[in-house]
Amino acid sequence: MASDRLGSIRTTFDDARDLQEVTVVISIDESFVDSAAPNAEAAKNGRTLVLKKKYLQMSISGDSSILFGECQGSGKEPYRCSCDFIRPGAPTYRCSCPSRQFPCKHSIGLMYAYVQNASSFKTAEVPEDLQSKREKVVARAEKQKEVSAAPKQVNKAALAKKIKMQLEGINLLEQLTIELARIGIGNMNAKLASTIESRAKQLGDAYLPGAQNALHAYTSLFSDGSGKFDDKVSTSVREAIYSDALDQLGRLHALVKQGRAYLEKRLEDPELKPEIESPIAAWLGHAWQLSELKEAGLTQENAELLQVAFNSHDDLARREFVDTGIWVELSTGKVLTTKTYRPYKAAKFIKSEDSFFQIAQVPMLCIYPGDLNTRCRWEEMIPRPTAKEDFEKVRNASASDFAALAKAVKNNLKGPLSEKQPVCLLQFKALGIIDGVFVIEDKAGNRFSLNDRGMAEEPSSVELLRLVPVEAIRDQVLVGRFRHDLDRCRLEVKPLSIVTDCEVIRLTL
Amino acid sequence: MSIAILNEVYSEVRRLAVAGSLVAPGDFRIKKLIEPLKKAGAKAPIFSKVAESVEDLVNSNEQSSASSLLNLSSLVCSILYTQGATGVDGKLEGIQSTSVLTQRNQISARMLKPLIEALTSTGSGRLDAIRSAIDHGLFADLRLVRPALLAIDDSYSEIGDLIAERVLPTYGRAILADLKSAYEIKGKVGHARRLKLMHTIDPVFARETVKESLVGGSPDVKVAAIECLGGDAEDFSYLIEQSKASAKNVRQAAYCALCKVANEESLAILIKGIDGKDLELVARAASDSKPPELVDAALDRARKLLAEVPSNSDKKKQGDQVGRILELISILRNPMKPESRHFLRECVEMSKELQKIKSTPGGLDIVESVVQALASDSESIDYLIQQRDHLPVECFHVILVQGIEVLPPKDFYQTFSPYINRSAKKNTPEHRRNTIVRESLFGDNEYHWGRIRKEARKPMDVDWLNDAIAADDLELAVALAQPNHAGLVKYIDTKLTDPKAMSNLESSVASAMIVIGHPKTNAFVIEKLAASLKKKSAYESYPWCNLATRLNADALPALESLAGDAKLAESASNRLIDAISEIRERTKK
Repeated sequence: MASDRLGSIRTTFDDARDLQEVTVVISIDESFVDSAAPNAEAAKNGRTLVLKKKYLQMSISGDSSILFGECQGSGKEPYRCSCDFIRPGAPTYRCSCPSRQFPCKHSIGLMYAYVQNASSFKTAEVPEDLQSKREKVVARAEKQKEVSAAPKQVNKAALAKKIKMQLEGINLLEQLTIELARIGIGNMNAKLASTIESRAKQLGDAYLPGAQNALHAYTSLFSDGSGKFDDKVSTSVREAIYSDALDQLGRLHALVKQGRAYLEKRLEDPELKPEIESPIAAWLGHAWQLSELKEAGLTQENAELLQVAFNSHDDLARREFVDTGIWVELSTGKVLTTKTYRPYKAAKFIKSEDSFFQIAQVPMLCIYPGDLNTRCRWEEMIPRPTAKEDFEKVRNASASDFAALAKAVKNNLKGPLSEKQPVCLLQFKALGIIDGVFVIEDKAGNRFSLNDRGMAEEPSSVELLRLVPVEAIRDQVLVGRFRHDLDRCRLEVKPLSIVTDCEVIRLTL
Repeated sequence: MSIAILNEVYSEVRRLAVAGSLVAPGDFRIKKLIEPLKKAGAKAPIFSKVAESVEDLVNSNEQSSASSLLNLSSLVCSILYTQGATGVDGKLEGIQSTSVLTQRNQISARMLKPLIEALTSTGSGRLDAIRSAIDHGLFADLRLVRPALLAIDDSYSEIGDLIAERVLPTYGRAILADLKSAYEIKGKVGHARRLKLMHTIDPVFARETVKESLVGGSPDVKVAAIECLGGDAEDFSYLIEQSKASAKNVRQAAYCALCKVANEESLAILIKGIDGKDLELVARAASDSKPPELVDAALDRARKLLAEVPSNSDKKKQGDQVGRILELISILRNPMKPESRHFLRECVEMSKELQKIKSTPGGLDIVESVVQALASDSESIDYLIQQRDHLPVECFHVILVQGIEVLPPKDFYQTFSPYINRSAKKNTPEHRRNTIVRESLFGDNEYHWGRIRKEARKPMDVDWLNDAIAADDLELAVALAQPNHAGLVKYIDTKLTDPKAMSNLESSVASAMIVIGHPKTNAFVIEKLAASLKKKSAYESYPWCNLATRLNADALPALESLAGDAKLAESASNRLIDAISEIRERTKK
């Protein structure tokens, strides 16, 4: 990243914990603005505004904590937009335009203008109305902290009613699963798929969106790219679908069993909090609130994360776009994931995530229940440029003994509701080829074969290993996604990225 | 642990799951696995558990079979998940990494994904996206190498060409293996691009493939292979061979290459070509470079044929002869030898006689072809202008274009203004000449002539405008508008009071008012713009929005007021905002 492209904003704010004045330097570069934009279109429009010189006025406050300006829009009056860094981890974007996207193209354009030519911003007094809004934001953040610290009241009667409905939903899921097993995977047809899909809606009504998605995941195995039932597939593809379908039926069966046990336990004890030892609550569709995660102690303070891979795919089963980031938390070395679900209907209004090339400094990281690649979220994040030590930490966190790693991965895979394609860091001695098969080898000579098979959500990457620099194919760290192929009874790895001592070479997105 | 028996159980479970659990009770194939499982259970208790589960399934009934099958499947899968094989036996060979992307660049997913889609899908708008990515250097990302290699076969040939010419060569030797493995000797144009690309990146590497393609390639591939040949003896023998190929485009590619090889043998083949059925192919091949002896031969044949044509009474044969003369004349151009120039001028002298040849193609085609050939010769332009009345009206357009380019504005006016004849009868040569001259004067308002005028970079003489005003020719007067022309200001003033006189010419009048800085311009354009915005079709307001961009800063308040109208369609509003920005930017400077 070129330093001349960096715009630095120094921000002074009162830290709520000790009320001590803290000075933070935020580095803004084009990639920061790219990632702040809700989608590619908004980023493009923001750039266009700068190119077309639509900004009539561009200012920065004396303490360099806020950018504000006026942009000529379609209205009679220009739009007043601002990018407020008073809370550096969670900047506030404001604009007088009617857009429902945040930040809107006017705020994004303002940041691009700053990154491209900071000297074009004149130092000015923050307008009164904007100043009062800023004070309100700080006050609101304080209040929110107080509220979240207070214990949450639970309406026991309502909760019991909900759990009963969920149990009824579990009974329905059991019926459907049994029916599918009775009919047979090979007898699946368009009519049956449609019937199952329509009945799956009842699971959503019974507060079991996770179970509903699991059922959709089964029917979507038989559909083509457009979501329609596909009965014209080749024999080899059909055989692969049958194996995946059997695996998914097993998952549904386990979901019924574990889900029922969990819900019955909660019905008996309304005080019981959602399960944190296993991911069953998320499987049933529990949407974890950050406050719940904090209450359950599933947090980590002052975390630093490096994104090592990213993917964005269309999940036909969930009817959502899913943006997945694979991150390494630098102090614990854990591989975590971030997931942003964007339902088709609301996709335009939800920020799509993008690959992130800096270090995310997170004051309070919330981590979901689970074992491998647990999901994480944060409210505030401050980016900083990567340093050599960051890549060293990734190397230290990687597995250098593939035999032990294989054992750990297999142990995880045996749980029916566990992550079936976990991502791990593999410290390798060499990447090579044996009989046309790409192979990764550790210092002791243990090997995994590298393969794209069965992992079509991410672009194929194995063949790209021929194109990476020579120094990247020896003594580096591979970020790999494991997959157990039940038909061939093989555990294989799909390469996602290679982490060297100074960069992440991404092979997928 | 005996994985084999577990795999067998998995296969049977899978078979029953595919068929449906109703067939599972009593199934003999899975039943016979119970005993071996029990035996294995003596050593590892997990097998006993599997045996029990299998037994449970075999003994189940219609109601319980599905549940039993799912229990068994979950158990077996859980065990198998812990048994996946990992190692790969054999000697590890190093990856022949061919990274040549010295300036590696990893772009964000938001930029990468649409680009991959543009390279691997179909539909409109992809070419612009790819072009823009090339301009911004985004292709220096190794994740784009494979999609770019796929795009070489894109059904939209412009994308295939663009990728082959501007993207793939930058990857250098790293893609040679992929190009070679995907190459099909009988393939279509995508494979021809692959061959040329391999040759561009490494001619030595591509040599054998080029040779094989010359022998057994598809016509597209053969043409590409010929283009890869050089001037050495081995290549020359290939060229001779390919000049006899049955496919026309292959022969033409061979002739093209032979035109660049200056030796007696190649000349003999080319001359044989112009004497035979390949005259058209040789003529096309010789359009760029050719040996001077070929021009001599063409001139000789053209003279002889021209002498024979008038006496041929068979119209068909006469037409064939004329066709050959036309091809031979095209060989005489670029560069023009004095002998050729002399011959062509002779043809001009005898144009009246030539026009009497009425075959198809006929004498008039010869004259037009001769005039076009002379127009490409800088030493013949003055001669052509002198001959303008002697030549048929069909050649007038070509001569006028040359007149715009070479004559000073005053001379051009004096030479061509007499052809403005507003009272000429339709379908007469006078009327046609009048139309051609008028069209040329519309300049920027008419694409073809606008381009010619721009290339010539010459303003029109003011007397054209004076004549138009004097003749009350509004259309021509506004097309010829020049700044600081008091006569035109007055003339437009009179027309503004008479809206009927301006029917269909309002936007041209507005454009002229902007050019001459007419004091009523802003009011006139804004009035028309406001009226056009009220109409349903966006098409109506489009030209007025464009004109608005050329107004001065005084028009801004009125334009802002129009743009702020909440009822205005978004597209129209955006166009107005663009216009406002453009005026601001221009007037700031």
